[in-house]
Amino acid sequence: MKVKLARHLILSIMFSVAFWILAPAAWPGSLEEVESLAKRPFLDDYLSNVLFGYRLVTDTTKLAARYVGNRLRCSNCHLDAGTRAGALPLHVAGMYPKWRDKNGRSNGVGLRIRECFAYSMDGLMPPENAPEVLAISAYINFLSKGQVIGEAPPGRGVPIVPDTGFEPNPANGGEVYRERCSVCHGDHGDGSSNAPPLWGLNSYNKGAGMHRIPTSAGFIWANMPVGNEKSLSHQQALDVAAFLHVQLRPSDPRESRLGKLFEKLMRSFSPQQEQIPQ
Amino acid sequence: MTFRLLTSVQQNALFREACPNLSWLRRMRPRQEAFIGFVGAVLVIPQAVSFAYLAGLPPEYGLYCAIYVTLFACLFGNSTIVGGPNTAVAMLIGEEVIRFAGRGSPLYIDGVLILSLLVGLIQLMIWLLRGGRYFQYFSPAAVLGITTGVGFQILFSTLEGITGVDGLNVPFFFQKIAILMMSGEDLINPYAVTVGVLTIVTGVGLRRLLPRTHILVAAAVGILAASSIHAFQPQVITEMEMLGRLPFSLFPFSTPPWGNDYFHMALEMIPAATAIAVIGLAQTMVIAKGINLDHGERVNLDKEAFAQAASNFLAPFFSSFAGSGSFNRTALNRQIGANTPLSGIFSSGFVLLLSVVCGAYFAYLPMPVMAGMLFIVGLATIKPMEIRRLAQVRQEFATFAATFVTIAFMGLNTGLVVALLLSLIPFILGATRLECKRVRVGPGMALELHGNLFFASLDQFSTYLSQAEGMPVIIDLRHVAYFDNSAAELILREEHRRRQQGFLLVVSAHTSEQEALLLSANAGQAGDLAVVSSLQEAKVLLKTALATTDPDR
Repeated sequence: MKVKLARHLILSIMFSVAFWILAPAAWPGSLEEVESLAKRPFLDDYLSNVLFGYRLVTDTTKLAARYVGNRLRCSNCHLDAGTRAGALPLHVAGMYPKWRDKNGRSNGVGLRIRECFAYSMDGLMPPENAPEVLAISAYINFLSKGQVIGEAPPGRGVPIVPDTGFEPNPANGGEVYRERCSVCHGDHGDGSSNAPPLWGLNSYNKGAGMHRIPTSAGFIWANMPVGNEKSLSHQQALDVAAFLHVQLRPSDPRESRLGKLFEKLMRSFSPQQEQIPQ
Repeated sequence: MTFRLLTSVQQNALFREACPNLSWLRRMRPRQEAFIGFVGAVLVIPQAVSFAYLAGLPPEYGLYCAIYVTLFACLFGNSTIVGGPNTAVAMLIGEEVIRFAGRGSPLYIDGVLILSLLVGLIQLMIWLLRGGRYFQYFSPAAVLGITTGVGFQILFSTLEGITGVDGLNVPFFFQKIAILMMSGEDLINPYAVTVGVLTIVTGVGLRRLLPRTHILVAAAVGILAASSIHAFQPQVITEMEMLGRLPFSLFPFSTPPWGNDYFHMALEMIPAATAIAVIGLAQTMVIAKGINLDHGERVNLDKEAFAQAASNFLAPFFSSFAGSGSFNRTALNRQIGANTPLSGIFSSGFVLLLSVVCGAYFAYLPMPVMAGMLFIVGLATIKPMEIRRLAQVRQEFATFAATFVTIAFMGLNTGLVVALLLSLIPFILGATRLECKRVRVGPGMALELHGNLFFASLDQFSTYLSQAEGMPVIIDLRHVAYFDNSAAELILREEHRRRQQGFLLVVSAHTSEQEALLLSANAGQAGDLAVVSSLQEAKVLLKTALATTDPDR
């Protein structure tokens, strides 16, 4: 009797230790895990949607062409396909549904994704049951494995740039931009072979979250320039964000109706450029 | 003796049907056919997109289907039948694959490719077994019931697009109505309903006035209405679904997926694939039959069956779903003067060209307008005049009504089976009817049978026998077309019984086949049935037998 009890005890301790060691490694959905899905011989509906969602996020212009208007990809802002902390990571399924002041209603993750298409991708708002939306929400669910529902996951959103005591200054920001950013993003902000366009008709519109100075300043401070992150001062990041804010870009679809039509015509007559890599 | 599946003549016939027959090259008129092809392409594009929507696929798949399936069907066929995306087939595909994955997801698309391949394979099998001609068994009433049922289902399938309510893709109309009544008022999108209803009203109103272009005019009105709504309320607020830019590629090569799990999926799809194969071929065959009744063109049914099967088999390799012959496009094609498959080939080429050139302008086509156009198409397949004409014959109307009600309440698959059974019932009843003419022969009786003597008519036969109880009997098989083993055994048993009672039973066989069956049954039961080959012999036999067995005479 005692031997049996002891065996049970030892076994259960061993299992708990193994769980303790293995669980943290297995919980957060990692990119390797997503990519390993592609090698499996068969994927069920959920996993095939996860893989499709991952491909949509990294190759948005091509695969989600139905609803995308500009030449951006999701992974231009959600760096590393939405897995880098401080760069708008996508492991946020536990935060939805929630109320947002942007549209004044309760937002499921589906509506959140659809608004990305309407604002950040400056395209059409897809319906709630569009395959693209369902696939991206499956991908978000997969990445959110191990997060606590209702609790903000680590590295959520972008860091908040502290108040420097000075107003963001677009003119200074322009100087910083020409010095530090234009190498990749171009003098006219139209992007290059390894950087997305920052303004103009091929970039996000005025309704996008990136158009808000605090968001873009936090993003720039934490993630830019690539390879030399956090080298800008808080004030420089705010100035660059203000500089980007005053540039010409597609209008907010909620405010300008005829303007949108004009932009669409402009875009359909402008020569097609090659896609921008990630 | 070596076993040969087919004779060399049959092999040659199969080979001739399977090869593209280019004899039409000599009688083609390229410029006229090109114009007809262009009209066909303009007509098929909105249909292709909405049928892809019915099948649960992204719209570009419908265009691929309208290009490649049409092309292959025309290349392998030798007639003016236009194949391609088809309502009933698309709807059945959507109903089946939704069991495995969500609409439009990668697994769903894999499922559609597998299903199309299966449909092609089953149709090839039907073609090899020379099954094309059996589709003539669908009576006109059943065909009308099927098309009306499909039209009815189309009407309800557009509700999702018109109201903008998700989750209306349940199979039956009463479920849709229930969902709309219970939770509709919060979910219905008023902007979408406005645009959709305006499209439908315009289309239906102009149907008499502009019989060919009313759908396009209705679409223009709908697009205009949606644009004016969007001038005041942005799409982000109205949430009206738009078609979006089509990621169109010229050569969309794809392969159906391969593997253990996909194989199991394919096994589960076989019943539905069979139903789709049958309904697809049935439509093509009904169209071909219609053309043959019309003067001027002879259509080889088997060749068209092969063309349909081959194009469906090749469809999944070009990102397309299965299709079939199209009633409305074939009718238009012939109406404006096509007489070779070239017009269909031109039509698929023009679809390709228009998709590349105008693809960008499809982006702002609102889904309620697409749904409205589909509604008009669905309404056009319901023909009240023909139903009224049918209502005068009670039996045909019953076939029609039963088919229609089954499709509406139990789905297209079940409806198809019911239609086939109801079409066959008059044949079956006719085939089992056995009539008997009694002729006195001296003290005995000759039973002259008319009809088929087989397992299904044995009941009637034994009734006739019992009416000739207690006397010698001649069974005259001169007018029996079909005679089977169970009938031979019954006759033998009867003969045995009567012999014990002291009466004779003689069979006058007409064909050597009947004689052989009777004799082999006789040998098997070690009886001694008298089988003769003419009535005269039978009478002689009867009389001599009476003279010898009956001592009183």
